[in-house]
Amino acid sequence: MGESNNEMAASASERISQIVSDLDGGAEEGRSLEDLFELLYPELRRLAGSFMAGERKEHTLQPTALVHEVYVRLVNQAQIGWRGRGHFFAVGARIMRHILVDHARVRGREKRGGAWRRVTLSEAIVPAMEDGLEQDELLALDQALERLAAVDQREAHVVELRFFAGLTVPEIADLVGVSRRTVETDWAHARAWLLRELATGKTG
Amino acid sequence: MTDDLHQRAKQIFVAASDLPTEAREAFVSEECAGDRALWDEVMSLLGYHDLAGSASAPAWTRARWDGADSIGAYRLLEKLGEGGMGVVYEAEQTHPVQRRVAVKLIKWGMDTREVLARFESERQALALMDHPAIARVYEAGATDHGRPYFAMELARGSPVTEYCDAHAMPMRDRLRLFVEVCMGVQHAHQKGIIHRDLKPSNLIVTEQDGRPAPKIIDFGISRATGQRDAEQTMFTRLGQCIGTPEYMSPEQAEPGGVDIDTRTDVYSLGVVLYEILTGSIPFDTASPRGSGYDELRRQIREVDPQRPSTRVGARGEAARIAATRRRLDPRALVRALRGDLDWIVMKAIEKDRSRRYGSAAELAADIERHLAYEPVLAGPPSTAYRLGKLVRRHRLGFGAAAVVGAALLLGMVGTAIGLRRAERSARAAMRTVDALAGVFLVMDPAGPSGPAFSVTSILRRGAEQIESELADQPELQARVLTALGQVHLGLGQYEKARLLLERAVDLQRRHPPQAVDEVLSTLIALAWVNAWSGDLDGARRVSLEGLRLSEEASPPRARAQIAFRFSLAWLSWRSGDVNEAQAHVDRAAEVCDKSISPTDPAVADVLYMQALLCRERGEAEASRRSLERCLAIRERAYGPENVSVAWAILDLGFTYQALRQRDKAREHFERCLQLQEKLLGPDHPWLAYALTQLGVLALQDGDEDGAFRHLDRALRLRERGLGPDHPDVVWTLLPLAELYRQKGEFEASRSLLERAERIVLAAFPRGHPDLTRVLIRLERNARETGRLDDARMLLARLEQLTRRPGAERQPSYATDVYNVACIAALQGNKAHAIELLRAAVAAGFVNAFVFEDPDLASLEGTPELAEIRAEVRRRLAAPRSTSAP
Repeated sequence: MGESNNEMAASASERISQIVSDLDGGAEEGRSLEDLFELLYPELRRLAGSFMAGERKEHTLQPTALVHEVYVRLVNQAQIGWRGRGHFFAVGARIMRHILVDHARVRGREKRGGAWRRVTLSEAIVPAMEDGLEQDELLALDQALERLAAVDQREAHVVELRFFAGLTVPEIADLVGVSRRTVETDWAHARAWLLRELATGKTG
Repeated sequence: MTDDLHQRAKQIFVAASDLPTEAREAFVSEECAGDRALWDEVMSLLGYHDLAGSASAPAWTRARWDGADSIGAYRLLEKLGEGGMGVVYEAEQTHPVQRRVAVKLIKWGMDTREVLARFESERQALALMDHPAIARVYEAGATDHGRPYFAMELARGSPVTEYCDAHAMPMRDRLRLFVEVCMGVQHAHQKGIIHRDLKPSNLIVTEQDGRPAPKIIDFGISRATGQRDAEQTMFTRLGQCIGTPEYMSPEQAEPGGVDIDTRTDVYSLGVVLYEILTGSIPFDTASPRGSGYDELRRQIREVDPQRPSTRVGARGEAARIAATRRRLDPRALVRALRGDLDWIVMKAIEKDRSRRYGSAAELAADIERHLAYEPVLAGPPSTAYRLGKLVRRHRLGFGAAAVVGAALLLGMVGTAIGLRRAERSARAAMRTVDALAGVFLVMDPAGPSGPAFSVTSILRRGAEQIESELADQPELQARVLTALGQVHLGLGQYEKARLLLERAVDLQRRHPPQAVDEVLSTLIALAWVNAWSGDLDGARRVSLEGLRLSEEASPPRARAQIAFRFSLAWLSWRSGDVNEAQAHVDRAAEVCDKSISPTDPAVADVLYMQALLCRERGEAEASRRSLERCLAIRERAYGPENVSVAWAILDLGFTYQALRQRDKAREHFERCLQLQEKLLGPDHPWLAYALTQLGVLALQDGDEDGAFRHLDRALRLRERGLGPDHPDVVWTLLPLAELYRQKGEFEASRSLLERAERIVLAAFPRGHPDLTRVLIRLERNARETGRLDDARMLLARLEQLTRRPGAERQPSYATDVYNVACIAALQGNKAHAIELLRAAVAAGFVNAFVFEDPDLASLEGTPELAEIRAEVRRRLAAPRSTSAP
């Protein structure tokens, strides 16, 4: 990584840190979240790109760890409380979802010679699983998740944090502000719900 | 669907999913009270709920929550805190003991492999720390996401500085508490562990019986995570600081090379003591963190801090608060600090570490002198400084000291080098290492880099020094290298052991020692190092050379011959050639009869090997008798707590398993495991034998969770200790594959079996009984998942194995052919099955199993099967033609 990159990261970092800190202090969410999204997107896109192009060794960084890595790198954690953290990871998860779904679409169009390495997609979604997730499956899942959000915003949010930011039950419970048991039951329900959506082949 | 319907359905779904399947419908019907739409919704969700996680559902539904509510064997309960490195949870461990622990989940962004490798290098030493003031680290591992974590003793309480203030503890009580902390640190230092990150938040005060009891946490973790380094990178990249630099020693604050020893911890203790006594740290941290980091580091390196009494005197209002918390007024606090305490603290935080206390114990001793109103050693620093210089000028020449050290080492290790399988326990090895550490400290009390305390670094330095200092004495050098190699062998560090021993062999070739016994010691150790690291051919070569030397020596070396015959027999057995193994054992037995007393441990080794081979031939009862004798001899020779004793117990377990006495088998495996854990620590790869068998037994009991725990741990131990491609790994993969098969996860089962196949093929290119075992299971997997072509191909491969040269001479031959016959029958290939059955019986398969084997169902009612059974019946009725002597 060159020097100039560091400088850029540092200035983006300052702004991101500031926004997260403001959000933590209870700043108005709408505008700040949009700004955070704008700033974070290129950062995550770049990291994800380098990962998917196979530039980074896998043991160093799992794709769902991207959001965490960016958080550790860009945000002055010592001063940020749970509220700021929550917003950061929520936005991070949303961005990762965008990136991965975009990637799947691109892959869908260019079955051959896609710019990114294929294998990583599967790991990107749920690292603990053994088999891959096909692009079609990811797109269908994304749409089903959209429909779930329409009836149960929080449940969809829980799934998103799990899938795209790789957070653990206690972490999600902290961020969403519910008990661990609730996170677990949300997940159990969402799993059955999404599975039914996919099985009945509904399309958005 | 309305949100309301969704929410009500979800509530009922959640409650119903906890119920047993058969109770659900009634429950849902009652809850829905006739609402048909609601009932439909809930029941349909429950259907998909059952599907999720099954083999036919998409993989993402089967994925586990990584580190979600549990990490490894730990169920996370409550978040205890969040620090620079990661999050700490209180957690419940269920296996192997039920207890509350603390689990520290390290932040993302670290190289997990590196963290674990660094931890690994100190693991053995960490396992030996046993002190009430030290919270033990039980385990390090990685979550499925690859995030490192540490499980350690739970210490609930508050940081030492907070605790003292909250209880308004008087000065003397604070000092007594601090002395206890020092003793804990000293204990760790004696075991070769440096903390590197001592600070109040790592010094937790808990209460026991109403008394404050300090617990030092995170030993071994800061080194593993290289936190200081991480901090620095982070800082330079982003202009921010994340960690806690205030307690960092000047040598740690130095840019570039970090050269750390026990006095680094003494420094940090000094800063903590400063804060406990005065209420503030020695440096000015008023400036904001972001810009203050470099400044603080500069202060730590360059600025001489104020004495505690001066600092309190200068702090005005803050001093008044600090004094009140010590039940004093500000002037009394200054008086209490002036003199002794000023000197003690200042000596502990000297910038030049050669002027600090040499150890935490010295610091504690000086505080105790102060508490007993005796004169303290610390004083105006110049005396100690000048004295130190004097000592350094007149230091003992290093070469002379090295010879003294080597002689001492040989005195301890030399006679103990038995010409047997390398079974020195880790504890014994560690004692040697401790002594060795002492030797090197004696040799170099204040060298330029100071005594480096980590065991590995001591061994490395030891090896380097041996190389340079003993260059003109190759014989002595080879002996010390051999001794060091054996220490590493005992610790399970096979690569390092191999390097040292190969160097010793090389030296001995170029400069043959007077006594051939020295060469033999080196060779037997090298043979076992090769065997354990999976290089069976190398082990065989070395053993044959050793055998030749011990036979040609005059007089011939009987014990060495037995030792090399033993290793050769074991190697043949491990490579699947039971006959060749038997030949070696027979020769060893002859040597025993001629020249060794029947109660000698060497006889026990022969008995052990004989028992192993009896079991292979199906003579389990004879195997049991030999092992009982072996165990008795070893227990008498070594006492009950010994690694060789544990091996005998392990094999008795195997034999009871063969005798189908499952309770006895389990009892022995558990005993073996307990003993090995005690002697070798919880992470030694040898534990995997008993663990794997306990897993097999649990699996047979239908206890899938228990089986998984044992097998999972066994697999990790083998992978970590022996490498992922070591042939022993196969022995855990097979039962693990069976576990997945029973759970209906055929794909997972298959991938484990295919991995096992790859390992066996690579390790034993000339064929091995394990390959038959793997292929039999792969065939079943193929059949059970409807891949009939694959199944037929596997059958052909299995048949081919029974026809490979020499196969018919192995004791398992008849059974192997019978198994292949069963597979042919299962595949519906009747004619072929009959043909193979006849071959099996002709080869000596005489087992009543053939009358009731369900695998032969497709042949039931055929005259050919009836004929074969009649033949078996005839043979069973006939008197045994062969019996064991």
